[in-house]
Amino acid sequence: MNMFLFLCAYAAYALFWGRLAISVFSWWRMENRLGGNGLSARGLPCSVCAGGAVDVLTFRRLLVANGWLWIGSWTFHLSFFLVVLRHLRFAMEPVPGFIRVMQVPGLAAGYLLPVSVAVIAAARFAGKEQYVSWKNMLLIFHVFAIAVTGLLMRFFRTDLVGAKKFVLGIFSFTPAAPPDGYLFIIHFSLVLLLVPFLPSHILAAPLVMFDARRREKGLAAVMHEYQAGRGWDLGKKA
Amino acid sequence: MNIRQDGGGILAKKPEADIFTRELTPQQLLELDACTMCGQCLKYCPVQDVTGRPSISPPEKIRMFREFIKATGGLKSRLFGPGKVDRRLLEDFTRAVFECTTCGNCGQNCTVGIFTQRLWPALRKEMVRRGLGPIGPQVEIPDKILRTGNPYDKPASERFSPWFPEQIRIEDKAETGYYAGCTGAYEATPMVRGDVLVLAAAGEPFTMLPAGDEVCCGFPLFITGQHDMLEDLTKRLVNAYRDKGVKTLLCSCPCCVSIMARDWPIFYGDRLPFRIRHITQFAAEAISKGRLRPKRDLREKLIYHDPCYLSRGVGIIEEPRTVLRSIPGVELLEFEMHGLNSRCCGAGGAARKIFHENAIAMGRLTIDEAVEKHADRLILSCPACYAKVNEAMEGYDKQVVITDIMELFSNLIK
Repeated sequence: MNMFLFLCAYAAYALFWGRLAISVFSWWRMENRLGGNGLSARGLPCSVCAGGAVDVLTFRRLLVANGWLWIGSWTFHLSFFLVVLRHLRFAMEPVPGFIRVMQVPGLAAGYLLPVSVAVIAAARFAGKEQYVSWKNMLLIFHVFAIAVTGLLMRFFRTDLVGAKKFVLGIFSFTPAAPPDGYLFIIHFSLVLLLVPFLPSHILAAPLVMFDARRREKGLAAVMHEYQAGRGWDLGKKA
Repeated sequence: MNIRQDGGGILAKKPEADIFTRELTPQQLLELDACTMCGQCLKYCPVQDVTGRPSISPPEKIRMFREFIKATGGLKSRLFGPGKVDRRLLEDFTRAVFECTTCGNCGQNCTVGIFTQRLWPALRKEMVRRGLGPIGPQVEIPDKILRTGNPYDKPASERFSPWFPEQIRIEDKAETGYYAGCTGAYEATPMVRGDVLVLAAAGEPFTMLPAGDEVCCGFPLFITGQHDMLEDLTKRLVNAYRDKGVKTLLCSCPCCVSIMARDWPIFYGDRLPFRIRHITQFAAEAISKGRLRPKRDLREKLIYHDPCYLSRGVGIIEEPRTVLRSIPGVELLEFEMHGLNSRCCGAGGAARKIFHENAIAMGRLTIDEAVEKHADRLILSCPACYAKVNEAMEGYDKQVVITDIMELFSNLIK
């Protein structure tokens, strides 16, 4: 069983990087072949950088669109990030100071994670948009299952030392037996299944948000002229 | 990094015809990946408003297109050979992307900011390259333009003569040029007549191309993904206006203005030798300088509809309102969705003649709101909107007076 889990871990890792490499390669080849076809100014002015960062960190656009979905999504992404940071203690020895600091917030995030996923699902079903992506729903259910099995391990004690030995074994190519109990195996397998299927928007959406900011900023320049001291001639003062 | 051109390898270059991303920019490829499928855009989609079919919604279109990309260029296809793209899915996608009005309101309200007003035409172009689009009468647009210079197949002799005021002089050469546009000239004549009356009232010497030379700006070809003639049309028009000494080219059609400002430089291959301005920009500036002033009051409630390609397309939002507010006695109302968030009237995306019922239903939503808000007059500033909303009102129980902004203004400055 432990060798099978080992191989699955490497396969999941390879699939993740393979998928990412294909995406980056496709993008790189297009960049070389076509170049951009828009006229929006290249480069990122400070205001665009700052605005883009706000958009990415706060999910501002989602907040404007749907408050409940925003609460669920923002809490989910933050919780997920904190939980991942907390779990890094299983993959590092010695454990760095900042990972130690993240243990308590990470634990709290672990409780928030399934709640936030439930809020997202509820907001999606309760909305009047009438569009439900079943692939997304499957992913949401998958993450929910990971979060719940992870939490259950707090109540049905798992051998954490054994878990760490197992994970470190994967990183050092020296297989070690997983800790006893099905809960860990289920939790770990669900995580492995998630890795290659992480949604592509995790990497692409932040970049698109920055470009959206740049585009919004550049809209005035399409048909207007900038006048020193007066700003864009948007017709307001006429 | 050397990419192997032949043989195997997961990064081997795929034959061009296989690639579903050929007509996309790198940014658009990122945008397809960035969609979170949250479905919030459906609240802003006018096609959804009138059809209620999520199967043709923005995220569903993106999902389908991702399937095509994955089948032909994803990791699995690179490891085990390209998968088969379901023909039925391709046809469903083609219909969905051509049923869209390309108004871009989904992108304006997208939770990650995808620029859909540019993405949908790019996806249409890919379908055209594959022989699946355009659909219906859109197929005939290139031939019509080749034959008569306009997508309506109308003779050039009728382009200006039915509406151009006899007393107004067109200079042979001038710094200001005026482009009437095909839809205005053939389908919304009060609008273009108003344009030239306003130009003349402001004392602006202007030039125009002869009717046979003022050909289509290329927008109907661009929006239906048929790009073959675009470079020729653009160069022909740009060079003609340049030879007439034009420094500012005015136009009232939002679609023309959008392609001129955003895409002509690309098809021309250089910066344009003149600037593009919308007629309301000219009017607003002339009002501010005292060159234009309404001579009569208008005690009416006006509601202004922002055309998609004028507001979201090129950012002209304040100028039309400036013009309307300059009229004494006017009370200006706003639609719930206005400015950058305006709702499509149904005329966009060259879909209005194919998905006629959708377009009429969308037009009637605009009429409904204008009537609910007790507007005396619905003000438009797009020839396609003008033609379609007027058509939508035929036989409809709710009625409101429809007037183009320059048609109205020209009547008040006489």
